[in-house]
Amino acid sequence: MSTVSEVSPAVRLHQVTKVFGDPTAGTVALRAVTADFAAGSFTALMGPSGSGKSTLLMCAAGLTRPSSGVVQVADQRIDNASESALTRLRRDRISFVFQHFQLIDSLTALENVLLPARLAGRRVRSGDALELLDLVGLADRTGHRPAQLSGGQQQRVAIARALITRPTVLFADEPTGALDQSAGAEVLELLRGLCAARGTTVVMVTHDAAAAAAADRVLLLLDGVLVDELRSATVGEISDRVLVGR
Amino acid sequence: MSARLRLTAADVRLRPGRVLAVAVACLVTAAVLGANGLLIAVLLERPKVSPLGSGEVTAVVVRESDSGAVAPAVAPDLAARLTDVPDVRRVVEFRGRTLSVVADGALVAGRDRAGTWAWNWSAAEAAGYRIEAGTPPAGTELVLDPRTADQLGLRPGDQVETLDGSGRTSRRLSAVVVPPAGGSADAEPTLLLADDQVARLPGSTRADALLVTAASGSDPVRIRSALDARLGDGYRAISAEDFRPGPAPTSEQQVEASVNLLALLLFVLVTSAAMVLGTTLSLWISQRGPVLAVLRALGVSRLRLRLLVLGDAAMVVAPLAVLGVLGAAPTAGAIRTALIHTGILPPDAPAVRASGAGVAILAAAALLTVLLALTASATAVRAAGRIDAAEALRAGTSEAKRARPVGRLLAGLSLLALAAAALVATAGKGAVLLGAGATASVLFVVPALTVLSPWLAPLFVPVAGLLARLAGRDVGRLAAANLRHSPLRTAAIAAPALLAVGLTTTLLGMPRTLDEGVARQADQRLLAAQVVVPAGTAGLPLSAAEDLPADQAAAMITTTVLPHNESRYGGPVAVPAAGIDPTVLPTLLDLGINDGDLTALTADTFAAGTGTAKQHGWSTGNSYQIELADGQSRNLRLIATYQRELGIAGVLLPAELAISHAPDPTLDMLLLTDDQHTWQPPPGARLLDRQTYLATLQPRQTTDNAAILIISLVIAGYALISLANTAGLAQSDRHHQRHALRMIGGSRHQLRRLVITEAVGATTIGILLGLLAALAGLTPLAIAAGSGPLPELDPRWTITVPLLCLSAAATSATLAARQPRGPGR
Ligand SMILES: Nc1ncnc2c1ncn2[C@@H]1O[C@H](COP(=O)(O)OP(=O)(O)OP(=O)(O)O)[C@@H](O)[C@H]1O
Ligand SMILES: [Mg+2]
Repeated sequence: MSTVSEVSPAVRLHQVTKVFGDPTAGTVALRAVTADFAAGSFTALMGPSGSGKSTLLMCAAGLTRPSSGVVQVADQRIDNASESALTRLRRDRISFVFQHFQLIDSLTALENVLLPARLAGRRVRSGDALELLDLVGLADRTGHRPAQLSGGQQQRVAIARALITRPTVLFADEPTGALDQSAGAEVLELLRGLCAARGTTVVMVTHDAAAAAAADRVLLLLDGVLVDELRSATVGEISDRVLVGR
Repeated sequence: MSARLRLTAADVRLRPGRVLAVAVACLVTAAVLGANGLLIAVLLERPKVSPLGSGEVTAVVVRESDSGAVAPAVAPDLAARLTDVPDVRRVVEFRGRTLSVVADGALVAGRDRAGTWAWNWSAAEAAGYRIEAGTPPAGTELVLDPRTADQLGLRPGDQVETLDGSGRTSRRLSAVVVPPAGGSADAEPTLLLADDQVARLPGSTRADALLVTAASGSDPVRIRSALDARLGDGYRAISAEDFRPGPAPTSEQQVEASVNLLALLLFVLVTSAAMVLGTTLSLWISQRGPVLAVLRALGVSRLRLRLLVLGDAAMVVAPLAVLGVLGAAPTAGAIRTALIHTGILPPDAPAVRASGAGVAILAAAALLTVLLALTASATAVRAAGRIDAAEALRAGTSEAKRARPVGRLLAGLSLLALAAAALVATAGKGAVLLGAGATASVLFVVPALTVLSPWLAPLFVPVAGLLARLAGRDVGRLAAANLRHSPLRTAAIAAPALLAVGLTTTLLGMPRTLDEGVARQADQRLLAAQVVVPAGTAGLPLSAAEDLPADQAAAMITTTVLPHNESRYGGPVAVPAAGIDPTVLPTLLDLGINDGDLTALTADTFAAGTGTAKQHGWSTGNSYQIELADGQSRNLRLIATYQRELGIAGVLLPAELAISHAPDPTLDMLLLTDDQHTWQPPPGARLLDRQTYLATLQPRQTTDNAAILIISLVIAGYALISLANTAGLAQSDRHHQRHALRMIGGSRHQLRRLVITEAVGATTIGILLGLLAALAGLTPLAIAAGSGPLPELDPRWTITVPLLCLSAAATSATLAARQPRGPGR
């Protein structure tokens, strides 16, 4: 079920198992999952609710430690990395976008975008942030606070923020879940473009076959096990597989 | 369980931190209020003893000054007017004077080491005193109670030396008497003289009171009202048990001072409890915004929503208040011990014990806590009904909408106006009155600034921003933005810091500033080389100066006057006055004469301190109706005003006038030139050289200051608890933000720094506002006390309290923001 590419993958999971609660009697969210994500690829992760998609994302990003197995990001093992190594990784290589907006209420859109760079202690150039906000189509909303933005606009600010550190991998958990069709399409377009233009590796969890169709590859998860993989599939093909999987 | 109960229970279970903060505030408030109530009650209940006992005297007629206080001295024709009141059998005059027995060259002390007092034989006879051995006193003879006689080893017929206003006298002990049941002889030495002897001692010719004996079997209450009807204005008939003539014993004064102290503490506590409970509960309610918004979206009406919020608050507060008052008794015990330890309460002060009244007081304290909490959170409850569902669900709290309600602005501005009024009303009226004004004004300014802090906090954000900048560029700006973005949260943290710093600085700075002024003025005005002060008695006998050359000693006779033109300032208040001899005084005391001439102080004239004169609207050269200490009014002309009145009487009278109208004249102090350094002071007096005397006036930890320190520390401790509460509470709904920060690469260290910077920033705003409030109250006082615009602060606590505030806020916020190692979900 693993994908092998010529260059070493940006993210690699090997025999990753995650058990919540009691190691013997707890909830098994992932069962010996092995998967590679090639640099510059755009992968969609699908599966029924509770199948372990978010857990897989968390493990891959070093937010949750797997119960067993190996996780590598850019050739660096992170399943047993120290807290400060993980923090550095998040500053330099990994970014997140979530279904529920993770913006800071008290900061404007521009300040929100600049924040990761500030936290990393980098020299901040507002030019970069303005460029990113322009990229996500919010050039005229830079001074607005989250409460003054629509859901889709907030999500786009979150994406712009995820990009300010020029990450090599971008994880997105249902980034279009709360958006209407056109706003969702905009966000997908953006992610798609990122892979192409910047070579960013994107891993996105979605329930929407149409959204998944924007990806190079679709992985299907069922009860914590990777059961299927589709490449450059159409919306129809994806819907069929997902229904069969269920 | 109802759906609503379940909702509250779930909220409590899910976010124990939020409720914990409210819980601590309630517990502490209920406990301290209850303790205060218990202590006041038990102190007020303390049995008081009257020398008359519950014997034969049916009523005592006393003069009542306009301010309601009992003043000694009744008009000479009064007794005659009462004899024909039905059932009245006998009316006897009562007179008392300071009189001490000299034994082994020292004075026999009264209870609590205070001076002793002698009164007239016929009054004792009327009260039911019975001769145990000997005969009624005649001539200069003296009568004692058995205990004092035993103590001195005296039996009827023995000689004993006494000291009174006119000097030393050798007297024969004529009898030993047993007091009637309930009399005070167990507590106080009883000294009795023949009537004409007492009347002949220096002082007013008027009797102190009239003792009325009724026919047996008549109803004392009816007799007293019949007497009241006959007496008219200015007099009152009281029961024998309520009549307590003479100087109050030290322990009684201590108890009275303690009750005043506790009452002040209660007032300050209630004010701050309202504030603290209000901010804590408001924050809690605002953090429930999302839940309330969902309910509102589900179709719950405004009224229902408000009732729900109010009911929830009551459900949380009520059991905690009950639990809190259970801790009141131990708290009361601890406060009592502290008061005894610092000498504010006498060691024999009654302890708190279980009683029906105690239970009622505790119930009242619990009720008061609940009412305070609910009233104080009324604004938040009202706002909960107005919640904008969409806004709240989006922003995570309902805070943005309600940060600056107009009602709060108006309430704050009116409090500020009251504070200003307190200062304006006392401006230029002398330091002592201004001191009272400053206290009152701070008591208003502190809550005013707290209420107004949502508007004021943004003004201080530059300061917090600077601090944030110091904390590092990475989290500094975010901290400043957070402070500015949530004024309610910032204010909730700043309020208790403001309270702690504002009140402790003012309360502790005020006596220091005044003491400083007193010491400075005393130093400036004292020309005398030596000062004689009372030691162990209320005052020096008038005769203390009799063997000194008239041109080398000046005496100050203690008395009071009651100015008549007081309508502007409410009830009349007796002004401490001194009788002096103007011929010697100027060489021993430089009062800093403003205008007029002090040497003209003869016959019907008086002089006044500049502040006292301003306070009463007196101007030099005019005459004013002034009531002297024995109730007689005289038209006196103001002949001079003097500047240095701090620590000395506000009114000066000619010595003759003062003596002849003081019911029991004594000397406050005696000033001597250097020629008298070998002079031996009489028993009960202490001779100090100028430097030693001035040193006793230096600002120091007096009992008074200890009392103020206790109040300040209780308030500060209380404010610190609530500061820790709100600082923690303010972090408890920030987990989203912290989570997000971790996601984008914020390290644990940075997060901790952010949380601390925010807490410290908000606290600093409170501290600055508190210092501002304190200075607003203290500066006019410092100017009036003549020490320039800078008040004298208590260095230790002015630094310690802010530091405690900062560390409490930082610690509590850090603990509340603590999270598992990874960013988690
Ligand atoms: N912190 C946790 N503690 C216990 N069990 C958990 C925890 N997080 C997830 N689980 C369990 O692990 C399983 C996988 O959860 P996960 O969140 O990965 O599902 P998902 O595929 O993302 O579902 P959805 O599409 O609904 O978001 C579920 O059964 C869930 O109940
Ligand atoms: Mg999920």
